[in-house]
Amino acid sequence: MLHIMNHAAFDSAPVDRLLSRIGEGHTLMLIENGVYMVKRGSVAAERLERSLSDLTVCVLAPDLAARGITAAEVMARVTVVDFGGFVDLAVDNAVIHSWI
Amino acid sequence: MTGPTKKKFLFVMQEAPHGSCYAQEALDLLLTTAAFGQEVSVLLLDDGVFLIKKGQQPDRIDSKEIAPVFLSFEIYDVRRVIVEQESLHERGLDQKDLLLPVETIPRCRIGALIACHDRVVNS
Repeated sequence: MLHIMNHAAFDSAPVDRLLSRIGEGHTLMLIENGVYMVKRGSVAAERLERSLSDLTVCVLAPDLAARGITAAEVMARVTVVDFGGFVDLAVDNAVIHSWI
Repeated sequence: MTGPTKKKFLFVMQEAPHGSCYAQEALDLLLTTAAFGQEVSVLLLDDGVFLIKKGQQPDRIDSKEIAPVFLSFEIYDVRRVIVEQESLHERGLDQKDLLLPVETIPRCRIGALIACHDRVVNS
């Protein structure tokens, strides 16, 4: 299953709530302001890092670039995808949910 | 008749750039206020600190440039850009990640800072 998140959360409670709702083996796709969550050293990145054994985290490259987050600033073990990669994820996952 | 009085304005910005139009509209209002000779300061809280993150390339998502507006503040006599320390740290950011020199203050002093202005505009 594919989960899409387009906004960022930096307080631990909303990040934990999101991660608790994502099942094992699922993929989390971060787009728009959601990409801020993979910024190395942020509270959100620390929480995401602890969940990486259970889920795959993908982030949209153009949204990172627009917000000035360089490849070096992206936390480890995150997959950076372009628009085409995002389309592939949407095609490969029968069930998709966008968190608002 | 008396001339226009000068007031101390504080613009509190809490939203990230590019995801919404909040920042663009707040900056339009801010520059207009400054152009009318008012004393204008800016306070960046929460995701608002991302407004002045270095290296933004908004053309990658066909979005408008926002960061350069902050670099034009000097021309408009906007002298104080204040950033909350905790907001930076929670987001993995440091002064060196920012486009311009700013004053940083701790969260516990935000209330007192806001209170010493005549008008507060939030976005």
